[in-house]
Amino acid sequence: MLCDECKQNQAVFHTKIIKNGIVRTRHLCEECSKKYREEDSFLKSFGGVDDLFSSFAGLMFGDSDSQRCICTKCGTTSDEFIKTGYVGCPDCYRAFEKVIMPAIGRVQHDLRHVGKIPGAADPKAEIMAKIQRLRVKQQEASDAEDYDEAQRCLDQINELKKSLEGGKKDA
Amino acid sequence: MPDSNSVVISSRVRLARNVAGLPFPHKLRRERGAMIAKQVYDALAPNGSYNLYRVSASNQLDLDVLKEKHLISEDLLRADNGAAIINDAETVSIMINEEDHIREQCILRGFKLDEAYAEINKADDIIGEKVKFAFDARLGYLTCCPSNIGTGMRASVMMFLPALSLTNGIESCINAVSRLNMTVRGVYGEGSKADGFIYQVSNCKTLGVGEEDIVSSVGNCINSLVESELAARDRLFHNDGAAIRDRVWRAWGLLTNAYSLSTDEFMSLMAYVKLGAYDGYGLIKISDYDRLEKLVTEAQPANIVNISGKALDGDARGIPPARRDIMRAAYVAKVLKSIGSRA
Repeated sequence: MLCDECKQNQAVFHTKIIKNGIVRTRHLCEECSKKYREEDSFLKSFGGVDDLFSSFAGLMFGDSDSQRCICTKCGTTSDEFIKTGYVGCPDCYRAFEKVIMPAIGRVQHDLRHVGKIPGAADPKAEIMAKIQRLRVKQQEASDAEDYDEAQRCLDQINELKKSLEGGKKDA
Repeated sequence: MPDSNSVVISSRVRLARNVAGLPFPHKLRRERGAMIAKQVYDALAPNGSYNLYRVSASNQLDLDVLKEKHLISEDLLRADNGAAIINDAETVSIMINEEDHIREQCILRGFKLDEAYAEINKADDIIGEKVKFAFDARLGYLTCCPSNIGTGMRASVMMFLPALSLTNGIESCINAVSRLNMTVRGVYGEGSKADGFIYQVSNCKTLGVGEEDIVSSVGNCINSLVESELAARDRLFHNDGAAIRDRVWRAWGLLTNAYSLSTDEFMSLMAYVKLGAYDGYGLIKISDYDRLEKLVTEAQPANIVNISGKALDGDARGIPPARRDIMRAAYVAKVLKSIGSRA
């Protein structure tokens, strides 16, 4: 692949640039990438309020190149989240999991919801939500190789499933 | 439990909710955003008497009045498609398209966090029957800012802490409260200075803790602050009784006789009148404490213009502040004389 800039040398540097939710890939040769790096550091030496804030947020949220990503549902980028502290849609929580979970852990000192479940007035919905929670717990237990706990979760899930089916028969 | 009446002004519980499958308000298309208010209003309307205010269709004075009553926020006024659904008693307010699609809150006078939670929880169930909320089994209710995730709940109590402020005890109290994972701020939101010795204490943690636990942990924190404040009041009067008596009675004299009163002057004098009305001091006799507390809201700029009925084109800013200050002085003097007297 030829360099995007000089169109002569072989490209050896491949960079992904995400701007306003659009991902672009830049392929550069050694020579041109050096030029870009110099330009970048020249610009950075001036800095700006935005840069300052984002580097501060970057520290808070554990910014790193390997963690940059984009939410396919709403187009929000992880950089945007780091800069503003806001996600764009419910799906962002999954898309930015690597960036967002450590941040949540630092702020909330917890990673598991134990409060109200929507539709709790509907017993069936509550049971479904309990099952969903137990599945997450079961997965975590087996990841941690705690198979006894995973089995206990499975037993509880089966119990709850039975009660759901029982409810259907009654209805 | 210590007597909280002269310390706690109001209790508020807020739940942040979002509609499943939709981008959060700052990423939402206008047309879709406008539908949320109707959906929520239609869910609530059969269950009580609610009014729907759309920010773009309401006049500025009405909005400022609601803001001063803490029923809507400054951010809502700037929001695209912002709306508020408020009950007649003005205890329940549902903000639409503020930071989250739906911000449900119940605000009650006095120390009533349990009741405020029960009431807003009921409204939440009703809305939840018609609106599918964005919810994740592990992370709970999903919100625009991760600091609200989980329960989406903020339980906050507005407190009047004059003695702790005057005896410089407030700093150590704020530090102690912060260690309990709570936050203390000025009453008009984040980063604002506390006017009239009024502070707001609320929980920080929203994930990994149940709603009832939030209510009880904030409640415990309030109880110990009330105890500290009352102890500080006793110390203050014991050490400096003559000065307090003088300041309270001067404040009473000014508030019942002044011809013109700015909001700031009113707030600082009113703080001394409220302190003087505290039973332990008995310097001012008040027959109706709720009325006294209501006066603080009524004397705010938009509310005083609204009460006087002098707004032109529904915009309080059309009235020169000097005229507003004269209206305020007359109203405050009239109300105070009707409910209180110097002991």
